Amino acid sequence: MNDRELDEILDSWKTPAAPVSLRARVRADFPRAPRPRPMRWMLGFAVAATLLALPTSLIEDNVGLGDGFQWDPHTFVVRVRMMHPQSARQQWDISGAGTTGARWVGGKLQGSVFMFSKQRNENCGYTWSTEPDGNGKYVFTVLPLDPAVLRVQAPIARIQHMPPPRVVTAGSSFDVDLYNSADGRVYDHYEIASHHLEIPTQESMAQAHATLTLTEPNVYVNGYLIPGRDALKVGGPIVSVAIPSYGYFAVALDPGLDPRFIKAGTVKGNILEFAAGANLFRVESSAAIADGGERPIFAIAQPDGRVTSVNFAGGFLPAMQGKQ
Amino acid sequence: MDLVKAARKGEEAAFLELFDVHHAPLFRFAYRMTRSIADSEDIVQDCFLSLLRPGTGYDARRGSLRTYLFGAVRNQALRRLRASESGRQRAPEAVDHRSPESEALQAEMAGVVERAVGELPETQREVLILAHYEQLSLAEIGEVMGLDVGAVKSRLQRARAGLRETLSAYATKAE
Repeated sequence: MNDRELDEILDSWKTPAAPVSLRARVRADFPRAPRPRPMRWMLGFAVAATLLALPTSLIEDNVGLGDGFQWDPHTFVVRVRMMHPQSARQQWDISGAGTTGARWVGGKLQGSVFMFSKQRNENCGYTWSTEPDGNGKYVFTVLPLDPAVLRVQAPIARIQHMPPPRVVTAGSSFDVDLYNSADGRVYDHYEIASHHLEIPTQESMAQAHATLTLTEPNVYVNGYLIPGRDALKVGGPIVSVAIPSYGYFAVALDPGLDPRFIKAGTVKGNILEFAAGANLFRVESSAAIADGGERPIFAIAQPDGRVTSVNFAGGFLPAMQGKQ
Repeated sequence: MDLVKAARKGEEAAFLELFDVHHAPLFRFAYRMTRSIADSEDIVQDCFLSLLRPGTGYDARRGSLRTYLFGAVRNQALRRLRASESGRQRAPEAVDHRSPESEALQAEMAGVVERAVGELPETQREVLILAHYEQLSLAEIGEVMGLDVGAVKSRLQRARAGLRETLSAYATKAE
């Protein structure tokens, strides 16, 4: 038998075609972006007594990016997982993220979220509890992560500053840390509304969350106002300022992968402060500079005693471009 | 835009395009490995969904999507065969071979070839299926199986030599 004859014989073995239903099956399992899901236990307080009898809710995988749900028929919540700076992403495995869902316990809605890092052999996360006051407001409390919910028995990264309970309602937004240390931060950004909320992408959230905006800024060095105001408003993921006799400074909330940025200070509300050399620089803005609470600031300092006037820019100043 | 990236970002149309382009040969390969339609459906479904999971192995810099998917099908098929004690002896699922009298010989031949290929050693069977039925190059088969081209070539030669011997009695009938 030659090769051609063998090939012809082999060709007689035909296979059945893939069933047409296979496409529909695969399509049905395509993981669409999660949307707010009205669940049985979320129907409202009128049926709270019934809900108390329901079992623990879902165990979900792949909640690393975000999810949405309702606390009651008029309170919609989205939660987006954020990591900051980019290097923090490399430490935590999103595929190891999970949540217990939520359940009513003693008049409170409770649940836990967590992530596991193989690299660190460490869990991080928190247990949350929210209690309605009956007027559309909730008391949201963050608790240490309940170890009973963990899938991987490993230490739990300690959250250094456990936030106090806060009253939240439609329109509120706030962040809750899963992990917060010098090498990075993993946190959930919550938004609450009285209407259906689309879950923002992590990228869009990161972009918005990493934006600095300086409005009518004034600059102080070691407590003294530096005369001269250059800009009404500048903004972006990086903003720069030229300060007479001191030089050029670029600051950012997220240094990305640029190793020249070093952690140098903080931003909170309308105040941005950072240190360079022996000097403390302070920028006051007439409006909030970044969202969230107190957040670290990363800076690049380019000392230059020849600078003669205050000058702001979104991005790097021209005099710093050679440093990019 | 890269269809895999788009699919991972949640674009269903990109995911379905990937499915439409690749599913048929993957299903055939899975079927020839497992000889089960149900298993083949499950395997193909899992392979496509695995593409979307973070941390799974597909990396465009390391090889083509086609060879990655064939490799994923292969791994799952072998896992299923090994999980089943009667993996190699499993009877093929009933495929409708009813045909007019004139096609009876063809149907009989198909059954003979199916058995002959199924009786090849596992490593030769995979190479033969990928090379003959799916027309993968030796280099692509090497990528799928983690072998160098020389090893693929020798396995293919052995597989064909074995089949030539087994099927020689049918050569005349086929003519």
